[in-house]
Amino acid sequence: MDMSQYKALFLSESREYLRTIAEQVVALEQSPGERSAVDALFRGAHSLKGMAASMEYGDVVVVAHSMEDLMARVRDGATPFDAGVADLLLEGVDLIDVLLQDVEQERPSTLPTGDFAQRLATYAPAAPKAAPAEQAEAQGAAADAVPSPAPTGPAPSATAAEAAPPAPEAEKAKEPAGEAGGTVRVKTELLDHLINLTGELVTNKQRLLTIAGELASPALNDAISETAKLLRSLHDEVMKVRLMPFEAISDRFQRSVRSVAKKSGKEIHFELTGREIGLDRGMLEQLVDPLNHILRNAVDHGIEESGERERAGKPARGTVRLAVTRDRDRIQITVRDDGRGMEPATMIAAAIAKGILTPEEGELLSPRQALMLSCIPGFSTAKEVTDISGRGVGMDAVNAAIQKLGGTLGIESEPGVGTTITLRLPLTIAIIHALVVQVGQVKAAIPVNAVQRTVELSRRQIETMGKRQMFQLDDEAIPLLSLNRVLGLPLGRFPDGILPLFVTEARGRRVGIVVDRLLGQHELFVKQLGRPLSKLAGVAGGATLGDGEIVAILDLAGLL
Amino acid sequence: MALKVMIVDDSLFMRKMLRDILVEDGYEIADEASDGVEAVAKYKECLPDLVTLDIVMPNKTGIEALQEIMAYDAGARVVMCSAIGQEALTAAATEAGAKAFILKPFNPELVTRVLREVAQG
Repeated sequence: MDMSQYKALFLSESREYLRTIAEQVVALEQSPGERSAVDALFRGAHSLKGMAASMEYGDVVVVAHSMEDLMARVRDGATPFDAGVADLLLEGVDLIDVLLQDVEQERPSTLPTGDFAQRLATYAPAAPKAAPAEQAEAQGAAADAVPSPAPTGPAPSATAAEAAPPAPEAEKAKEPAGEAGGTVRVKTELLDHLINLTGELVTNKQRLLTIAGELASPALNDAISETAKLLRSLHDEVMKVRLMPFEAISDRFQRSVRSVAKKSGKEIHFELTGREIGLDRGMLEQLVDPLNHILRNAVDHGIEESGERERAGKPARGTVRLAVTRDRDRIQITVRDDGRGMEPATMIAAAIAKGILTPEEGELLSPRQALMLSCIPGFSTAKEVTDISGRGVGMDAVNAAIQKLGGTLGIESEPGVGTTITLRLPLTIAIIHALVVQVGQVKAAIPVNAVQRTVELSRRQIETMGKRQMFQLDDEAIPLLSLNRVLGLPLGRFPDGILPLFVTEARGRRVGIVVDRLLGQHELFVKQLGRPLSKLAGVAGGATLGDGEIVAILDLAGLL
Repeated sequence: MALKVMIVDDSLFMRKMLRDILVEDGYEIADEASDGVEAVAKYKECLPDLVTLDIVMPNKTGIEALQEIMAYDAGARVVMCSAIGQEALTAAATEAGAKAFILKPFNPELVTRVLREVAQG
């Protein structure tokens, strides 16, 4: 039988099982003894083994088999589910994950799996709680279950016998979604094509609008407005198809919180809500690193040592909550910790000490702006950079990544009570609303999420403070910057004495960006730039305007 | 007329593989189910000539599903499928009315031979 036709299905379903296993391990750690989770773990390993055996992937069989065995012992009460078991199972998940990548790339695997299998087979809890007799029995059972040395050939039927009775009923344990009730699996490229086509249609609609403007035909206008309505529905439907539940990435967060907590010796209770909320699959992937970083920060810098917490009258165990919610067409993700919080004054003092701010500028900052200082490159309030939160990549990178997705990042903090980081994201990253501006001979687009407002400023309103030009907005002095200058283009002339500008936030402060002309808001279909242009800092992508002109979509965070 | 088979397995991969083997051998696939509860419900709906039934499944194990199917239809022809190591359950399954046992990973010739034997009584 030609098994190669099943490879893609094997890989996708195996990964679903790995995800289930990782999730259930973390769930079991939070509420040990949850029978349905134990059963689901056993079944996950069992199914993985069966599939790998069919595909004749001997290494995967060995690892999955040893995990299944260990879970059978846990289920039968011979081995308690403790941190050691959790570690081993997660190690097994990682191991299989690497093996699957080898399978996918069709390269021979070099991972030694025998040692892992051996450790699982002989695992005994560090502090046995079972009565001596029971314990001896458990050890005996474990010894019996040792698989004969890892099979080298692809014949899994040569592995040792396993004594695993069927799993009894499990109620709410999550199973990988199969092909249940009227759903189909489609290739992700197909979804990408769909959104591409929809995007091209949006561009074409803009073109029709331009032509209609020139022709002034009511009939044509009607037809276009009807098309626009249909397009919006099409766009909504295509977006829905592209949505994937947040849980597609959430198990990684549980694991990373767990591992940082372990490394830093802190006790953390991690809560996750909203795992069912759907996000654009393109966006999900790009959220992994930023969220991981925020969570690591929360555990590593936010949550205090348990002694310090107790002295402050807090529970010894810190809590980190990750919540995903959807509000109409926005996604909100919050990471809330009950740690030491951040002091705006300390942040300002640190920024002044580092030469990022002058003392005068520091005085002008609101508490909210002071907290945003942490998003400035090179700024860190942690006294020492620990191995865990990583060097180099800080909140500045997180902020830039979120802005690139068309989102915003907010920080709220109360000293002694905790910190909340809020990400607000659009539902889609493919079609955006952007402010189109003229600078010199070129047009550029700025996603509207980055634009706080537009202003037409009279020259008389400009004040010069030192080397800087500023203007007053809502009783705040806002520095002016020329986009022409930033992009190295000839400066604008402004013969009528009016400077068009938009206000944005950079480095935690508002700035006015002066352009030659504000051309209005457009719906744009964002296309990623190919190499080498994709390496350009400050450009997030490109799009075609209705008249066929190409505009660069600016990434202000990267540009300023 | 082609015999109708219902395939029960919680793994989509396994169902797909079995389906391909059976269709190739001239069977008609009456339906598929991914757990024990679904298996019992769908059996009553489509009344297949043959059932391949996995043992380790969520919601209701294959053995439990077998008992319910047999209670509903004493003439049901059910073949149990399971991975190596579950041989210990052969007796329980036979007692509950299973007609045969197929070991995973599936060997196409073995699968078709066992099903043919069961179909012919």
